[in-house]
Amino acid sequence: MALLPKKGLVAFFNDPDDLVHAAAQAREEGFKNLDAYTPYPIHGIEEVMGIGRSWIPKAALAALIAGATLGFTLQYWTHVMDWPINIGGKPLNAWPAFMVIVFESGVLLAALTNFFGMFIACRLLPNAFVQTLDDDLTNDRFALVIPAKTEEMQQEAANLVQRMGADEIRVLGK
Amino acid sequence: MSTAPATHAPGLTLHGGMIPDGTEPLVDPKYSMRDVTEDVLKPMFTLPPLLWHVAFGFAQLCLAIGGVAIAIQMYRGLGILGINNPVGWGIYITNFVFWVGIGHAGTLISAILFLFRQKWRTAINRSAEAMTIFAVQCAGLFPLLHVGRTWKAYWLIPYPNDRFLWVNFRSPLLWDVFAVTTYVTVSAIFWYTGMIPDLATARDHAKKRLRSLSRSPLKLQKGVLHLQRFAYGTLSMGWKGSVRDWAHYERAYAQFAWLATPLVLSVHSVVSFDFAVSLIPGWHTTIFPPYFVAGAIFSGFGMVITLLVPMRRFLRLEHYITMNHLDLCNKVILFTSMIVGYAYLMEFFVAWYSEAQYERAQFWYRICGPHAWAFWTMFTCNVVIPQVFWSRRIRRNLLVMFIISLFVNVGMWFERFNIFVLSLERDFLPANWSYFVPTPFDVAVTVASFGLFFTLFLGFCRVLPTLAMAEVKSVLHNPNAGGTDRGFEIVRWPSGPGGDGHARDEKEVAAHGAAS
Repeated sequence: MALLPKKGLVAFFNDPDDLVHAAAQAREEGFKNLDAYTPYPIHGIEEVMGIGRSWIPKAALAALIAGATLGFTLQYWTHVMDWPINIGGKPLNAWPAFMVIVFESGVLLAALTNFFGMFIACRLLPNAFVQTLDDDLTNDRFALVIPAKTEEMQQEAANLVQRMGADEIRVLGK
Repeated sequence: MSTAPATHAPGLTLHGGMIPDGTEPLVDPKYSMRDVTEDVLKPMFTLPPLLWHVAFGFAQLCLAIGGVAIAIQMYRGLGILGINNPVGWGIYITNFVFWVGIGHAGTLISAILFLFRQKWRTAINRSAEAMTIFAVQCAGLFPLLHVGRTWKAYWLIPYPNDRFLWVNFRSPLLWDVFAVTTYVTVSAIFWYTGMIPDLATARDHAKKRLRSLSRSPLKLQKGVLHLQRFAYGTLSMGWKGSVRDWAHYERAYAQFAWLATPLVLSVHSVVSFDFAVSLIPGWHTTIFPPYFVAGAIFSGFGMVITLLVPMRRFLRLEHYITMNHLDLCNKVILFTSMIVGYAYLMEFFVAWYSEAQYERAQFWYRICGPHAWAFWTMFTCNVVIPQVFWSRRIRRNLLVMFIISLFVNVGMWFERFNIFVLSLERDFLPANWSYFVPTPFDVAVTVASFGLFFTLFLGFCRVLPTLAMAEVKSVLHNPNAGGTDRGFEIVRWPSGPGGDGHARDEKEVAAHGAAS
């Protein structure tokens, strides 16, 4: 969960198009660190708001390689080094037979990294009594959060979102 | 998915614009985001009807009968089952492969169709994934029982132990342990990831209901709502829906699809290695991996239809899981039925063409031996009956498709029975030959697995969001129905009249904008 700014403005919208237009306008007028809350992912809003690409795929790729290596190492070590047993005359390092588990352990570790990586990236923790701005932000409302320290900036932001069709405006950190 | 340019051409809305050519949107334009939330959450916030209690009770009864059978088996050992020499793999292994196969449709819908940008999957992926996870749980039951001394099943896991032994990584049976456990883990976390935003919606809905009841004297109802708020709040991990979180979330979700796609294709391939890597006539063939995967998708879609037809009716989700969805599922059934049919015939061709004496004898035995009825049941249910889906009218007839899906389930169960039991009945030595007969314990444990599956699925229908709400909202035609049409992105049906059925890319959108 992204943290709310200490001082700023929250504008509520009923329409995702209005939200995206308002976010684009706010960024154009020089507001920084914008955030928005939406009930579903709106594609393209990341670019409008200047949010970079997630690091999760890189972590997952690293985990895929690590998992596969670990899988092979485990099989090689147990079969060739720790306790070599001749089973049916097969070679000790029967690497083609090891490939299934190499694949599975790679995918497993990558998927777990992906899962917990998302928890870390979004700062998700079990929290039954989380405070939200509005109960309908997970239903059918959209909110744009504009950090604004001074009163003039808040006024400017308020004018902007009003122009862009906000139907409710709240000031944070009075 | 079209990405929004930062600046917009005049007359062009964000999500790409004009209604093109009267093709049908995925969800009826009159439904708004609020409707989606309320329709999906309704079963979670109301008491179930009598019919649900009857079904749930029946499923639990089946589970209880099987539980008793399992307890007796634990006490007396595997001898009470039908398996013996030479048929060492009987009903349990048949059930194992049957249930693993059922799971495949869920992952196909959630991962492969996601990668192919098949947006219609949004309405059915949640329930299909639930089906996957429950089916794999049922599957996992059988190898654990089949090992006989279930309390020693942890020996399958390689860990440093005071027996000073390692597992045999060169054995396909061990590959299976890894494949199935990885599959169930990845499916479960993929499912849960998809559910987090929807659980947050449920949490906020409970909060809202509590606020509206703040002055009411309904103590019990308030208590339940507090409990629901706590449960959904905990499970949703404090999800708020910030676009910064959505950016990570969406990457992670897409990443899951990339990981699950090769995984789902590998699981049933690895299951088929249990057989294909051995030397038994009828098992030792290279066609097994693709044949098993196609069969798994076929049986999985059969079960999807079996579950969705009643579910959409009783939970009143017909507007979201439409006839078009069922039609497409039926097309998948038809297609995979033909792949399976091809595989059956190819097995016979190869048996003849190889001139391998035992292989030929095995396939003669299948079509005219004492168990030929099992072969012909399979062939009729899997290859002949699904051909009626060539007719569009039948693909869109609820009753007929439901009945056919039951035939598919039966047929696919018999496919596994044919492969495993019939191959083992006739091995190399005629003195070994036998005719496999299951005992009541085999039947009871099979019934238990169905009881477990339906107990879990019926529970799912009442306590978790059965539709991926956040995803469905993103394909709505008009997110706030009742207002003016905002020209939201319309996601159309594939192969509709005139159009490729996909969201157009930016260039096309720009061209549209310029033209108007």
